[in-house]
Amino acid sequence: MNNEDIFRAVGEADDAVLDEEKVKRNNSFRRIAGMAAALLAVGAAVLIAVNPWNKEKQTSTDWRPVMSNETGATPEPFVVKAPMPEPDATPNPEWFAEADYKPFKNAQELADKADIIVRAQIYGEGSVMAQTRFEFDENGDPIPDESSMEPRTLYEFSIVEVFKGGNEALKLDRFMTQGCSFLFSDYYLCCPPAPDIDCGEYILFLYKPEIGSQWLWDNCAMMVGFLGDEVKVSYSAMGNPVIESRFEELTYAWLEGMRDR
Amino acid sequence: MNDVDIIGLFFKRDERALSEVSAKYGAYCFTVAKNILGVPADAEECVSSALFKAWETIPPKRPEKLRLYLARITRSVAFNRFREMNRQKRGGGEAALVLDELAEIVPAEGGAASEAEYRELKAAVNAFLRALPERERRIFVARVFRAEPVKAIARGLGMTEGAVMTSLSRTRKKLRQKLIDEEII
Repeated sequence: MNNEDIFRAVGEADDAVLDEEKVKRNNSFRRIAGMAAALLAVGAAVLIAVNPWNKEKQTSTDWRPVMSNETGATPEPFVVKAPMPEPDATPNPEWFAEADYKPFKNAQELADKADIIVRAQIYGEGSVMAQTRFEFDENGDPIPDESSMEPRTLYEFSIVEVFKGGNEALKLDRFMTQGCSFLFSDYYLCCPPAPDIDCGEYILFLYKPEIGSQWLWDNCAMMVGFLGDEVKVSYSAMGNPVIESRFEELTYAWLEGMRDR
Repeated sequence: MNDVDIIGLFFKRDERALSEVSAKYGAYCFTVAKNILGVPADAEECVSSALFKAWETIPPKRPEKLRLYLARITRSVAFNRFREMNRQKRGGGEAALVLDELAEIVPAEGGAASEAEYRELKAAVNAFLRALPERERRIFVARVFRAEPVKAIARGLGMTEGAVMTSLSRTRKKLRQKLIDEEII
């Protein structure tokens, strides 16, 4: 048996599993619903998005700061984008059982376990080649695998404010997203997820790796980190919308807590 | 014209069936073939061959979903063409990448499955796809059945490419585990 047999078998699966008509209808519906919601949200959301530190409640679905071009030192005005799609209603229990899912209990835990928390202004992007599949040697070190190198987007940022981590935090100036590239480092860095990262302000959380990649992976939609010129860490939460929205929710809750101080 | 009427033309051996089916599903089949082969001219030839095969097989076949029936034939023709191109080292579209990815489930080096093995595999794959959460199934089917590029899948579903890739990776691992559990591989 070989891979072509799998290819063939998928092609001969039942109509019911291959038919994407239903999918198209669902997508159209989502788009229309999303646009309608966006129109309704615009009036309020513009005011909120202008200042991410606004006292008004921010949610993942009603604003997203966007700015700048690729070289972009100068932010363009904030604009409102359509809301992110609603998370699928119910997490798949099998998923969580398999992943030994241990969510952050609350925003406090999210922040407490972080070694570094910064507010950063993302101002530019570029491309890097990064390893995307990993085997580990007997010492647990990743084995280099040229064949899995793929281009990933690199984002540069400047630190606006350090909440936790002091001088160590100031060494950071870039991160990477779009995929599951993963290299060991001194820190994991995670940031609020978005369908695409646009330039703008984000809160970045860093965790030391001994927390365990699985634990972080379960909790964060993106964990990424660069230190100097060397790629350090990047990870993705498989696009799981439940986990993504959970992480966003906690991030915003933490922000609100900070504002109330 | 609706599918029932088009199939009616096939059954009457009315050649308008071919022009109707080409007008309605030609572009769709072309996309499937082009995804696999990457070369528009080759994809066009595949679509023509696929329509001819449909003409040969309907009747006696009366497909429930004409679009999928045609897509399956197109895919099969395009894949055979892809193998031919591979032998001649002419590259190809997404098919080579999809096969590489599927090699994570079962390596490419093994011989083809026997008839009995393939029957088991087919049933298991079908059951697996049925049981998958809808979102994961959409992604997997788009990638493996229609050989869509990751970028196109991501755009279609409003996801990042990374999220699509990681979902695919996860699905492949699950399928591999299922095939191991059922002692198929």
